[in-house]
Amino acid sequence: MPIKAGSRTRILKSDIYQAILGFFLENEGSVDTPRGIATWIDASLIKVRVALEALAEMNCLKAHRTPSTIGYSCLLSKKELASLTSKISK
Amino acid sequence: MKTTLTNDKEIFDFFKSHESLRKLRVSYDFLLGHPIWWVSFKLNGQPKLFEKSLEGSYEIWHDPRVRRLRTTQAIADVLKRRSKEKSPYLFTIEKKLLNFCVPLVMDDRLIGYFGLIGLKNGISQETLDMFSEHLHLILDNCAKKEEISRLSATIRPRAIALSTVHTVHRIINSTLNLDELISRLAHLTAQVLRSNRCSIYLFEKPKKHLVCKALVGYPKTKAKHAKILVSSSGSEGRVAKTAKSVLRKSTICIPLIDEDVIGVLTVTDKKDKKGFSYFDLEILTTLAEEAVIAIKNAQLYEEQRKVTLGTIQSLAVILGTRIPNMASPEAFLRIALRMAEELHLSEEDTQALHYATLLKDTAKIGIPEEILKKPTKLTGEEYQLIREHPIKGAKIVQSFESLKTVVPIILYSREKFDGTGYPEGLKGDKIPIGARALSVINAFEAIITGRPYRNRVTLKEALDEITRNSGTQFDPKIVEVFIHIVQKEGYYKYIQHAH
Repeated sequence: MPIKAGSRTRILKSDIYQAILGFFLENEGSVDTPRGIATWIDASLIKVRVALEALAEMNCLKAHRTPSTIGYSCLLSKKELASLTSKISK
Repeated sequence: MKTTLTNDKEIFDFFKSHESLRKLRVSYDFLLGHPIWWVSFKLNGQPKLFEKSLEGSYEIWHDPRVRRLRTTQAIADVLKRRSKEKSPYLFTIEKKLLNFCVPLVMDDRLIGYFGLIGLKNGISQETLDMFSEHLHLILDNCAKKEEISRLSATIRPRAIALSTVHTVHRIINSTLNLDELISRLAHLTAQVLRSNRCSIYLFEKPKKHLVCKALVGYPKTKAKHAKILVSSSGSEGRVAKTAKSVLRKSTICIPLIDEDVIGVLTVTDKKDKKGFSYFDLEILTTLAEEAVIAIKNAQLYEEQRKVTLGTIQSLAVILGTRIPNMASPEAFLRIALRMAEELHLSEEDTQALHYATLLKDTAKIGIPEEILKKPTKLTGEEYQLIREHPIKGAKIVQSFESLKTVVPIILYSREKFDGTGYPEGLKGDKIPIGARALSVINAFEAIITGRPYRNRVTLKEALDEITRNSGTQFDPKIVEVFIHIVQKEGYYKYIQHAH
């Protein structure tokens, strides 16, 4: 389901969104589960799950779906990631 | 690898920004007679550095006296003269101004200095000892903090990389379809290694050729399924022959080893232009080890599937020679698979319908040939025998572990959508979807190919009969799909062949 404009702004402004993009900026090649990413950025698993799905919906991340879990990897280049992270943090 | 100097600087930076250092001033300042507090990194024989450190001290305690200090040179001279001392000491300069200096020593290594200028006279040694002890506790804490930070900087990327390998392992192992597995592996490997290109070659028997199974990021002109001779001079051929990895800035090529080399995985053109490192090789080797297990599992599964399918096909052929007018199962198999696609059945349900279509008449093996070929109406006893055949068929099939999903399709393939069928009289959606599909195929086959007790009819008449029974004998949704496939998609030519 496409993300509504209001929700998109809310997600973009949230700390968790920045933390996830920051994680992928630091570890470009990472492919990890919501639990893994929540551990690395020290955040709530439930919030991370929601944010990851939203980021996948925005085509920032790719969701590799399997019956037992979902692995997320970054679709953006380091340059695009850095630019996005800096825009959001302003 | 970090140098000791870098570590000392980090420890010192942690120390001067430590919250406890500020709290220490609140606790001790009155007791010590409001001296000027200062802190300095090691001077290495350069007294000028001490002047700079006083500016840093101002930023910590915001004491304006530190900026007006006229004894800077004298203190720096003392520090230089007593640079070997590692224990706290008192000293006086100009007009008996009492100073206290605590060399900050960690593992017998001087990190820097802590000092007090203008201590009140008559301060007890016990107070100074206690004060020094507090400073060293803070310093110890900073050293531990630095160690944790250093360990984290080393371990964290490796732990994240391992977590990535584990996740990739889970993703590639979630399918037993070899083509899908290899494609996923190639894409994920390119992602993890941040490379623009990835290729996977597997050996074909006999082991003379490596066959390309997946390409990521290559131009379309590089054909998938291309073959490489093991004796060729390229990286892939050499790696396959020697079973040794190749690491270059532009390429990593590693063998996929089970008991022997089963293939080669190559990544080229790293995105960050720095080129591949030994760390990348380590990650790729671990990934490849995981991948080999998944590939072998998929290959074994594929072999087992082929054996199962071969057995089923043989059984179908035997049945075909026994049952009069039985059409080529191939024609109805094509329709069944197309129906599965149109009905959006899962991979597992599609395979079950595939097998069930081949095995639908298995139980007829147990029915005497004279009944199967009887051209006249069956007696009650004979009809009862025919009615039992789905149950018998299911019993035969259920003894095969790999055919468990086929059992309900065969068992309920004679049920009718309105609940008047057999063996259990199931109605509507209670009948498994595979069984509802097979029921249409079964009936269509009997109508169009004819039976000893009924003549065969034309395709149009057969389709009309199926449509007439939609909603009573058959699921209307399935009839709609079936009619569409047979009539509009040209599948009638296969039927005509069977006809």
